[in-house]
Amino acid sequence: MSQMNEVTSSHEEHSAWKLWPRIEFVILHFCVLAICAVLGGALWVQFVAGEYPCPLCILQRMAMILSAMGSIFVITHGHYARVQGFSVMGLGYGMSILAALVGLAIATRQILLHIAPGDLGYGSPVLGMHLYSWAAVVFLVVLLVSGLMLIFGRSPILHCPVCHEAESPEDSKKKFLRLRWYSWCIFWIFGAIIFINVFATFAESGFHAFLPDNPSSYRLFEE
Amino acid sequence: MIAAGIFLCLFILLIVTLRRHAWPTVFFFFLSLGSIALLFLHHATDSLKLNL
Repeated sequence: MSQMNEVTSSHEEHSAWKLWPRIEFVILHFCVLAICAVLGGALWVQFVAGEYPCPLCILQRMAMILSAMGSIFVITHGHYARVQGFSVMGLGYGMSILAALVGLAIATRQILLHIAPGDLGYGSPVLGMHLYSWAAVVFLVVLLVSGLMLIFGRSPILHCPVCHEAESPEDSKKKFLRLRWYSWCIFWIFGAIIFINVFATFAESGFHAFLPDNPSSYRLFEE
Repeated sequence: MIAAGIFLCLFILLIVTLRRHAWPTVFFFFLSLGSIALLFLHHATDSLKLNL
């Protein structure tokens, strides 16, 4: 225990460690915002450019949303070291890494489907690459950032040695409400993007169980 | 409809994460991840008409 206190005090002496939680907070928000921007771009291509997303594109969107959930979990639980037996950082970044691995597998599959010379690919390229190639880049970045955050991320116990269970529900609620306004803004935007995707996908599939391989219309409005 | 259902599941996951319930978060995370993986496998193998 005394050894742990020595470690704690040595970190607290260093000014970089005092600043790090804020930097990590900004990075986490930026990650969610970046995923929102990518998903917003995909919706723009769908509704403004008039291109229909294929099933693999939809699956990549799902994996991107799931990978951002890890960052949201760490933002909302960042006051604690552990929540209901789970390490906050372990669960948050673990979720991001698993989702990014699945997303990377889906994006790689779509890249390999269209990789042959002469194949025009699916949809129009954006900045020289197709959307599924950009998706692979996004998933690789998520993996990289999650790995780096697990290595360099602060251990909450050094700064706030409190477990969720050890705190009264009132204090827990106060901390939750103390989330900054920009956090709530980002969560609302993220929620809205998910909700738009629910209706967009339902419109595309109609009352069929699966999406068509090469969609050319919104089946809900055709039937 | 299955894809729309998974998006709905992701929306529920966002809500339980914001309400800070750790176990429901884990449950809905793995439900979503498993569904995405199974749907991916379906789309990857359906056209092959595999005889298993």
